[in-house]
Amino acid sequence: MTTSLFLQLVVNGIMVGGVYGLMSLGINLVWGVMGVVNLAHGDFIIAAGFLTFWLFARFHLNPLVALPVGVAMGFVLGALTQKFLLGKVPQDRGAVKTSLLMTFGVSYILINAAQLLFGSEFQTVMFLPGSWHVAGLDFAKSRTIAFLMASAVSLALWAFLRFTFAGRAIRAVSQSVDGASVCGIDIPRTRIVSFGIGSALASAAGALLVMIFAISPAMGNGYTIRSFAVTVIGGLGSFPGALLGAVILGMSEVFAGYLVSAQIANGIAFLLFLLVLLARPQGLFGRKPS
Amino acid sequence: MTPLLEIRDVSKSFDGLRALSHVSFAVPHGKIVSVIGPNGAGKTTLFNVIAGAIQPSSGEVLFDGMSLKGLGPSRTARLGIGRTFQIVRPFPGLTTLDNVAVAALHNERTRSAARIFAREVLELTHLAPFAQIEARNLTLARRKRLEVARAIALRPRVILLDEVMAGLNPAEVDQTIELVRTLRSLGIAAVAGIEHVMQAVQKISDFIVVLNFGEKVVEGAPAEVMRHPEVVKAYLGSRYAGAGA
Amino acid sequence: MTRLEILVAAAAVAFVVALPLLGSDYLVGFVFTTFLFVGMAYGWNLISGYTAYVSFGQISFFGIGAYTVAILVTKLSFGWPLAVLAGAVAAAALAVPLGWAMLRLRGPYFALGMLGFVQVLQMVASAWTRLTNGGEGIYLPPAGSLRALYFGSAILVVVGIAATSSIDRSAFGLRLRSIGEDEIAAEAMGVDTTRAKLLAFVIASAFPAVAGGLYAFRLSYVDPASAFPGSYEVQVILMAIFGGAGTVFGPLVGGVLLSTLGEALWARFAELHLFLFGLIIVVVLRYMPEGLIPRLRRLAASAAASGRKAAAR
Repeated sequence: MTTSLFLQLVVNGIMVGGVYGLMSLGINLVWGVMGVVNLAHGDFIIAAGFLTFWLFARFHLNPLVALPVGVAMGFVLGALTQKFLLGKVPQDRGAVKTSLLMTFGVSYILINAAQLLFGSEFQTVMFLPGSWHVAGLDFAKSRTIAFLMASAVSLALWAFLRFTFAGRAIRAVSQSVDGASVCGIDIPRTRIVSFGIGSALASAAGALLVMIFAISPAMGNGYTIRSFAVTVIGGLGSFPGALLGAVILGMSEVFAGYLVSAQIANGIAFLLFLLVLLARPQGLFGRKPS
Repeated sequence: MTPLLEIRDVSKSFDGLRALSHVSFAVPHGKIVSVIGPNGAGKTTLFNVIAGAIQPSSGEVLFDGMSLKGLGPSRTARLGIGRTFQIVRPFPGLTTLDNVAVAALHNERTRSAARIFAREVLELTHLAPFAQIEARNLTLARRKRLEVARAIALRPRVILLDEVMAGLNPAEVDQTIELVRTLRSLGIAAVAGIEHVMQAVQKISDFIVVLNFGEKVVEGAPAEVMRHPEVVKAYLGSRYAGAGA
Repeated sequence: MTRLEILVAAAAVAFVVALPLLGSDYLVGFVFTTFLFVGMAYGWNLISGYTAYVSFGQISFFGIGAYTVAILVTKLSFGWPLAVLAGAVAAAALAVPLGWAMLRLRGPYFALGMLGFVQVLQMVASAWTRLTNGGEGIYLPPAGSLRALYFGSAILVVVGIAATSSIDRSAFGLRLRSIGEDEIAAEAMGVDTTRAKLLAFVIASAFPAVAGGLYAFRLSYVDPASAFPGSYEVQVILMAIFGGAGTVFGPLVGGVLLSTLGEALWARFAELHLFLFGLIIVVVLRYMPEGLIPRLRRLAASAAASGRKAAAR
């Protein structure tokens, strides 16, 4: 393999990793704050991707302009799910099981809604064909823009959590529910906002993803696995870890896709997920599981 | 005679935090040892190590001369080490009878046989009237009693009682002291972790081990240990340490 | 068994035996599919109902059953009953190492792991074209008649009921339940949770495998998409939960009721019916998470209690 080919693959991997990182931020938020494993995460990603596609195909709407629409839709659906479904689950020993099953049900609803509205075919948005050539490497325009947007959204999230009241309320609840409620923080509302943001982040990732790849409604589970794989590799609760994990996954997939086959690349996320959980459950930087 | 349980130079660190530091003591067959110490002294960590729920960073635990290294909680339970949990963990959806029957399973071949034995244990621990009630509907005092009943149903040689009297009113504490004495009559040894229910400590213990900051401070007969200046200092502060000497 | 129970059982057996003689092909086909789902629900119930390890990947074994049957019949000329049993054996053989790896993971991780495993199997089925013909799929020669397959599915249901009933009353069942209630406490009480979970997982794998094998014959065709139908996973789980996870008749009741409902929905809302199924899961979990049978039992118990109170006055 020549150096430039190697570097090209690395670049591709990092750029895909940027979007994967965005996907996993939502997981970290929801899982870290509420301890809920959202099995519908990948389907939020796909649904937003399809919405973006539809707006592009039907109304020729620039996908970057459509991004906020997808994000808003994700936020609303997520907030509703938490408010009317997950938030009503009694917090006893069966809560984990019931939440898993519920999000599984939501996943199913989303996939079928997407199929009903948008069909079962693979779709993509050919928005920015072509690439920029810098230093002898190809930077595909759509990937680069997606990477930059993903980074921007991630940064916005970081700033939100750090500097706004709502963001700090979320961080408080993730550290101590009792402590936060004693400080007067409205716990149910904070959870609704968190889940909404988590789904909004997934939707943002989906809107960007559809510019790079072709997606179909059936791919939801695959993206759920990827999002969790990234979080697990980086370690739950660690945002830098998630970004690093995303780059690792992105590069593994790109290299596997080139060296072996596209199908194997699809399975890499699951393999890494399993390996990390069995060998080093806390991932790279995460908290040790209690 | 080899002691039933020997804790040999056990240390445990969690990510740099020293929870236990070179703790050693022995529990003779059929005796009751109280491990006392303020909150955070390491009592529960010690119990988790003995029960096999966590592995020590160094040192080992010997049960009847046999090392428990690497054995997990279900293995140690079957070998004869029972335990209760500081924050009670009954099987909420199972009846009181079935809660106890689970522990009896490893010694009985069928569920019915386990239930028969469980019923005897319930009689012994005065929980028989509640046999068919789901554990989630029991009061705290009865749940704590259930914890002990379950441990007894294992037919253990020793039971680790973690804060079994915390949160009980004086009458309930007295009942629990009776329960612990029942263990002695059954020939079961006990290691009782107790933070502050001091009147009980004097009444039940054959001897006492004092922990503070993960280290063994002193061990000995109840009367002398309770007067030891280090113990007084640990509980009441150094101002009082000279008082009883 | 009480006299009422014997009567009900006899009526059920009579119904099952008489159906192929009196019913139309459509009806037999419908009951066949229903029985496959009920069988799969019993499998799911054994692992996820009792031990609370919620698996979203039992369909993996369905696919294993389907492919094993297809390969044995086309390449080695196996007869169909033997092929279906071989599928169950293959699934159980896979379940041992898979279960060993997966069951070490806590609840949500286990769920994700099983979810991902289906993807991996689908990928393997597509890629290993020498064995599976990849995307083209395998065509099966017509095997036993619909009636024969139907009896196969009825046997699956009977085995499901018998196995669950016997486990439910046994020491093994009590161990599984204790794991589902509180695994850490169960370990502290001497339960060998690793062995118990694994055994349940392996037994549970046989049911979707047999269902998959029978299904392969019915369809006469197997390919990666049809062997791992995601919609089946959802329906099976819903049936088990709706009827009552961790009960002996929950899967049967849930399976029959929902299959009939599904058929009615499909007849009237063909494209929407899966979407509606998802909605039903969510509603059931919100308002009746323990399932129908436990809910009915509770109602009966409180009705009996107030009946006693009224009588005492």
